[in-house]
Amino acid sequence: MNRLLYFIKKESLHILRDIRTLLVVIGIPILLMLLFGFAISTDVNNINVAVCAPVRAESIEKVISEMDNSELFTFKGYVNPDEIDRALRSGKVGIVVVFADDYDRIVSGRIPDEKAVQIVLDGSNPNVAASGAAYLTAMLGGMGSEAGLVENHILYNPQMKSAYNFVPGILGLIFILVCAMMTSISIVREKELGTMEVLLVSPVKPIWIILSKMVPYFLLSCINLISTLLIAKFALGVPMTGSIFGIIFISLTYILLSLGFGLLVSTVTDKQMVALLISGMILMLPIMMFSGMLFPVENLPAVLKPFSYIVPARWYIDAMRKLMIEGLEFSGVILEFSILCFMTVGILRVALMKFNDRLE
Amino acid sequence: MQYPIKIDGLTKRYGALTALDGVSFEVGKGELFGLIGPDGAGKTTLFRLLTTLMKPDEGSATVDGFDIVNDYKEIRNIVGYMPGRFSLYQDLSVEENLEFFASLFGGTVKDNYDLIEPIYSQIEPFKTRRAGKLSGGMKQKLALSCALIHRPKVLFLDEPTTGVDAVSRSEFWDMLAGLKQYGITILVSTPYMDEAGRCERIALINDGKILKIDTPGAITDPGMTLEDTFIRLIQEENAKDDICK
Repeated sequence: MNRLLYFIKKESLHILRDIRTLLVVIGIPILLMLLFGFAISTDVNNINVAVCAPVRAESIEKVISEMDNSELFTFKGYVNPDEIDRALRSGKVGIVVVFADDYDRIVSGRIPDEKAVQIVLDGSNPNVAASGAAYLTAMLGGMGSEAGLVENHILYNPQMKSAYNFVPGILGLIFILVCAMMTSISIVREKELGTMEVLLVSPVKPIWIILSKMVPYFLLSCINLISTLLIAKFALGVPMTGSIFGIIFISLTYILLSLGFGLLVSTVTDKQMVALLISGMILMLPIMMFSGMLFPVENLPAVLKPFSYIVPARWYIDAMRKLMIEGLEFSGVILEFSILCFMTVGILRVALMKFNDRLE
Repeated sequence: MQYPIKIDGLTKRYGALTALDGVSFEVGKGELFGLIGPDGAGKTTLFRLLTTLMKPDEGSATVDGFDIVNDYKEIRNIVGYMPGRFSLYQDLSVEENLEFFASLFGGTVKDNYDLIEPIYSQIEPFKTRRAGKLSGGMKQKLALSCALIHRPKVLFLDEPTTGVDAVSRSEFWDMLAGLKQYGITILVSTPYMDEAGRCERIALINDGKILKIDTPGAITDPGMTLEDTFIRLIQEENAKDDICK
């Protein structure tokens, strides 16, 4: 036991002596959270809108000011019918709203079966066009005739903020990347520096080496967990109405799994560079593709779907969505939790088995 | 009498290359035994086999009676090993390195301080300095201290004086001689002929084969230097090989 403590102390000293790496390891999760949360967002904001109206009726002015007040649209001015194409083509506006000559009378229902408004969209960015059209239709429908009112009620993420959905995904990516990269070089480094040679000619057991490398990085990851959860809650406004205990518990399990994965990489490689490439690059793609981070797992082609079952991040991200956004209790993610536990034990077992206590 | 190191026909191949070719010899208790040979002669391979870091392809060997393949765990408890490359933690201080290696064997620095005192006292003033910042001679003293801190029965030193200045080299051999009183058996390798004289017995090794084993005085041809003798032996060996072909 005493030996293990010394071992852990030694590993901790390695980490603390390398301040630059330490700062990177603590800084990267924060940076990624802010980057993904704020910058990479599929939300549509501030679409420039021009209006083509034959008459400046009061009702139309009302619609325009309503539009301009929402954070989705910015009113840029009026255009003539023959200028619509040019306005869109020049890129100055993304949407032109054309009001019918008899707008008031159509809206009040005096002329049935007539369209009151036409929306002309720049479709070159389909994402912007589709969201813009949907928002605008809903807004006009809500303001116009009572009969045409469309009720659009979205659960869990009523403002459809993408940051919400991104947070569990980013957490899933951050933890496995940072944890696996940290531990993946730890054993390989000793092989490269030659210290493994001395270490092996001693009564040291592989399990001590594995454990002592995990403990300090686990503590470090706890700091990362705290910082990312704080950012999620206070900077990105994720509700986290579910079980906080559940969020932390399942995250710690996932962190253990990631550390174990890094150690597994470390036991089977001989060069730090190779270990980093495997844990960094090769991990990234399957997580992005198969974990539901970027797009729903349900949308994957049937052939690829089975892959998502073996990607740990998929289960973690699923569980975190339920806990953070849907607000479920821990009992709601028991399945995901069990699978993650099972995977963690499996990975650690393999790492231990693969640990070579000779040089060849 | 049981030999602390007993080697019988050890052979090790790396693919087509035969690094060690049927090496056999014994080292007596408390003996300072030198393995003299040029780079690539197979010295490091022999050390790695005896310290159980590799398995031989043929032959067998025992260290303190334990088989190097089957009883490797026991051997790892009782030997001290100093690899050819400086293999301590450069980012840890002198003191931290020593403490770590003592704890690795379940002991403390105090337990066997008497053994390393003559060596360690020379670097003790720098005990808070990081190992990576030490000079070559000091690194080597620290490495020897770390290899001795668990009071091993057999000490394996792979080219401990390579890349070290002449004064430090001479001091280092004095320290090894000082260890004799503790009954520690030492197998040490070196590419330097002038150091051979500091050993009790030496084995000349070239191309994976042992050419001759004797005391440094007896091994040298009368009127010649050890170096010339070594070269003559190598030439004889090569001539033998040519005839075989």
